[in-house]
Amino acid sequence: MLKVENLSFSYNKVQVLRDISFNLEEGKIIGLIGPNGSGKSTLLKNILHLEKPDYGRIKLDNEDIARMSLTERAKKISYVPQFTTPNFSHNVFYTVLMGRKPYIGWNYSKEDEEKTRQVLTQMKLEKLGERLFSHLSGGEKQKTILARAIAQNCNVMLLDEPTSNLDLKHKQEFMLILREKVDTQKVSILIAIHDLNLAAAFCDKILLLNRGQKFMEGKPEEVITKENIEKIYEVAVNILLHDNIPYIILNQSNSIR
Amino acid sequence: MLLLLIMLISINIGPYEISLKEIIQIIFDRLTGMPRTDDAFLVIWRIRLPRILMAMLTGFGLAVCGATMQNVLDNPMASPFTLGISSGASFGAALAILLQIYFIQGPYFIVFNAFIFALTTSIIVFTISSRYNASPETMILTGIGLSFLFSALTILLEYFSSPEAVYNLQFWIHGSLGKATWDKLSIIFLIQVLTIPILYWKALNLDIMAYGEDQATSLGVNVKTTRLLTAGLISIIAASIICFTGVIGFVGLVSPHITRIFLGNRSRTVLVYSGVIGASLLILSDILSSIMMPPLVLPIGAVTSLIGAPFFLYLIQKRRRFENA
Repeated sequence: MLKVENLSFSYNKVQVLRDISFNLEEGKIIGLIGPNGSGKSTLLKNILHLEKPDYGRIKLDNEDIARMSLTERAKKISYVPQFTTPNFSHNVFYTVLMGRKPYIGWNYSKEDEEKTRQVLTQMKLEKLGERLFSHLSGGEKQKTILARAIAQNCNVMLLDEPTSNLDLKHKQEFMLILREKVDTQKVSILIAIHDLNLAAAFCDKILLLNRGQKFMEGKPEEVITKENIEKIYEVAVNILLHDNIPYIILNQSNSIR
Repeated sequence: MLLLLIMLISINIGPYEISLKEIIQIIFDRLTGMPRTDDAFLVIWRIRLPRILMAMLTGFGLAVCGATMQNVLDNPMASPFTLGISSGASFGAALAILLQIYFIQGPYFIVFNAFIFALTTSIIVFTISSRYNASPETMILTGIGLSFLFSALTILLEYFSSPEAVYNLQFWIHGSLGKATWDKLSIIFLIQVLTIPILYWKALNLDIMAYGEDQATSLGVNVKTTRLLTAGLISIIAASIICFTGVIGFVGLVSPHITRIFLGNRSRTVLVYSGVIGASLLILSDILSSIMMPPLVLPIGAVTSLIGAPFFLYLIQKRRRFENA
């Protein structure tokens, strides 16, 4: 599926990503974790070719993404960024309809509208269809942006900390939607995520970044260990295992040991 | 429909009384090639009709520019003049009127100056801002910076000129539809026919770009190209209008907002309807400018703002966003 090979990237001569390689397999979710500034967002942007790597290659089904046109790429990889609310926003239906952009000619077709309606129903957003995006709550906005990415109908989805502003219920709902996409339609997802417990519970694999380098990659219980977290995040933690899913508990004292 | 009605009323108004039946007869005669040279014919065909069409094209064009500019920059304060077009045009006119510096001889020397400087200003804005990825903020700030520069230069020129010359310049700047001819109309019309369909086509991209550059790119929109293309076309449309009419600014800001309040923010809708509203607003202002203090014809730019501004303020107060964006 998606293959990242020896990716390096620097911004204003400061090296942000260094020699990162990994594979994202079909029907899997990889949780991308790491402290602030470790390069998670930058890695996603490089894969989307929003930033051009200095070195390395990103291949999708053995095709170099640098060789694809904007539209081709948009049909294969969708992106849920940390959203902004525009000054001139639109209703939810039209906002989700925008996900059909890579497929349209002069205008959106009846088919695109039908597809949009389906996605809204699947995500239980149909009641919000006429509401203005700027009038929605944070959770509703995030779901709308996800709906747009789903309407884009890509095999690979990249998400940049989509759950940061959501409450407990919305977080779970959000991750369940992703899980269902992956399990039923063999979509592959790379999600940058701050909430380690959420990552551990819903991801097949965890990729831990530290200062722009891949520190470790593996199953949640392999990567999220007391030793790794204390070393990379510089906090003292205890780890509980529940159904073999690691659960992090912050220690009261701030320092490590 | 509203637009047609206003046009009909408008063509009826003037110091020379002509019945509606007569007017229709005149237009019909002319279109079927019947030769006429009587006074009624001359008043309608040489004065009133060009003037009304000029008001229509000016209002339509500036409003379309305003609507598009607001979307390109996702900024409610943007207008066709955000790129420094009006101050550039004024400076061009000042050079021609005050210093007699111009590029071509003949009756169009002020017009050509205004056009060249309007366009030059926006080209400078583009060149500077595309170095920084043409971000909306850079575009706005560069436009504002250049506006101040050209206004300062114009003021300096005025300071060293005769009161008479300054009066002529002020008259030009305040805007007038009075000098409309079929030639000027066809130039403006041709430019709009060629450019507005492209703006309409690209309007879908502008909607998506409002949600952020990265998001738009990931949906297959070439953000930088779209931004420069649309802003470039706007510059040409606006420059082609104000070089003939002078600065009529308000219509470009207010028409899109009136549309947004009633019909939502979809760019294509806003583009078309603000054009119609802009055209109606300007024809209405033109009527008022000639009947408020006859036989004086008040400056159209001032009258537009005079009737548009209170209405605009009222709408903003009463704003109720219809949820059918």
